Amino acid sequence: MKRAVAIALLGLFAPMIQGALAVFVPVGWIPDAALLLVVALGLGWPGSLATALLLATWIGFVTDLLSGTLIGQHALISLCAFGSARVVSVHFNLHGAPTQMTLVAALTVGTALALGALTAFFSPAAGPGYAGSFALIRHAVVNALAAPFAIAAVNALFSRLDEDSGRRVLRLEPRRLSP
Amino acid sequence: MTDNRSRIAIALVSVALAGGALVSMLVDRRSTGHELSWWSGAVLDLAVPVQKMVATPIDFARDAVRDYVAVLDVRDENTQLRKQLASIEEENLQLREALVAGGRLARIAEMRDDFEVPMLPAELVGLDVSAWFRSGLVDRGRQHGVFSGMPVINEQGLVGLVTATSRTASKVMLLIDRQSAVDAVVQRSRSRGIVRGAHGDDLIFEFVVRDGDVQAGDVLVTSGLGGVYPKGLRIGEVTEVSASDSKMLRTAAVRPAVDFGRLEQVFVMLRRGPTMELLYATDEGDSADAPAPEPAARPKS
Repeated sequence: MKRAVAIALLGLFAPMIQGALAVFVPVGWIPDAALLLVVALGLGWPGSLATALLLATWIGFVTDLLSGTLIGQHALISLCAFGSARVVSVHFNLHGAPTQMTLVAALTVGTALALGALTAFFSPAAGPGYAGSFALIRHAVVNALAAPFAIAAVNALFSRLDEDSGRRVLRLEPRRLSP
Repeated sequence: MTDNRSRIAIALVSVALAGGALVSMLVDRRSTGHELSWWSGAVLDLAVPVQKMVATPIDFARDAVRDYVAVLDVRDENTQLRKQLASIEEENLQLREALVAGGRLARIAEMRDDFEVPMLPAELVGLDVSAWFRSGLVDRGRQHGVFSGMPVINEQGLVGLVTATSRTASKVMLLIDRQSAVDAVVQRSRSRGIVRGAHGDDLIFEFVVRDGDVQAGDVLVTSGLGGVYPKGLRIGEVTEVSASDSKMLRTAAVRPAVDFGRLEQVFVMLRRGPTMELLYATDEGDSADAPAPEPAARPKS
């Protein structure tokens, strides 16, 4: 429960801080907090999968509210990103920074294309946009560079808020019989 | 057995969440521009103080550096500005004289009335968190009289349009967003066309080849047609006219008048255009519960 609340709060405040920073730094140079959080959730969430799915959707909804997209667009993509990260983490060893960076770069491109496709579907005149653009590659690199740190931070948070950490381990040692 | 049940439950949760997101998108598309529900509004209301808190120390440091640099040049700039002001005042007087002589003073007075829209200063506290969309969050909402469909400007020109409001915050779709489309006219030749957001911070002007007299350096202003933006708001300057790739339409690259990279203070025009009034206003006034009219995802001016 504590972990879920912590992630829900992070999912609420991280995009807000990102939005505030975007006034000073071009948005392409700022790591995508929501995507990184969702990937970290997919790779390291130790609790129930249903809760993680809800959290991923919540993070997407918050992003939708702070963005010019339709409400639900990021939520759907966030859900897919979470699923992808989860599936990939089952089949590959994602403990190293290079693999995490590769995954995040691929998901950045994938989510951008999906966003473009959804936008083109709902507002045809806007067009799919950003496929293959330099901005997309730059953003993928920025996200990839931030990924190992974000994932480590979220994992550290999970360990800190480990719901079993309060319990003491009972050790049973055989007594030596005196001769 | 339990494992199978768990898998089915997870699949159901996933489908329900994805379905919910899709339904939400469809509902939002139909009601674009309406006021946000209380819970979505609460997130926006919370975003304003959080983003201001983040921005305050950065603003402070940046302003200190800017002030120092500005002080160094302020005297020269002041002298230059005074000269410019004197020259503009002189020019203004001459123009007025010419117009009076032409018997068009009454029309000027009407135009002035048209432009006398109450303006509300607002601060841009955050920009779009998605790198692929261009919107901003301002610290004025319904309680300040801001509603969806109101144009947003600054001293440089047209900034965008309010698309969603909460109690204390509003979301503004910037002119450079890909979903933005404004009916524009070339100030020199009066050629009409549509200005759309392009990739990055630029705009694209689409105009009909037949009567399109557009050249690099031309200034584009809102045409006032379409009833979203008032007539005469500065949009930008044509930088390049592309070679004709269609028999009907041509495009021109436009540099926006507004420097979107340094957007801070904006003004919300507290009067909606007639089209926006028709689209968004209801008998009960603006309300989240009000029935949605026809979709207006991409209003044109």
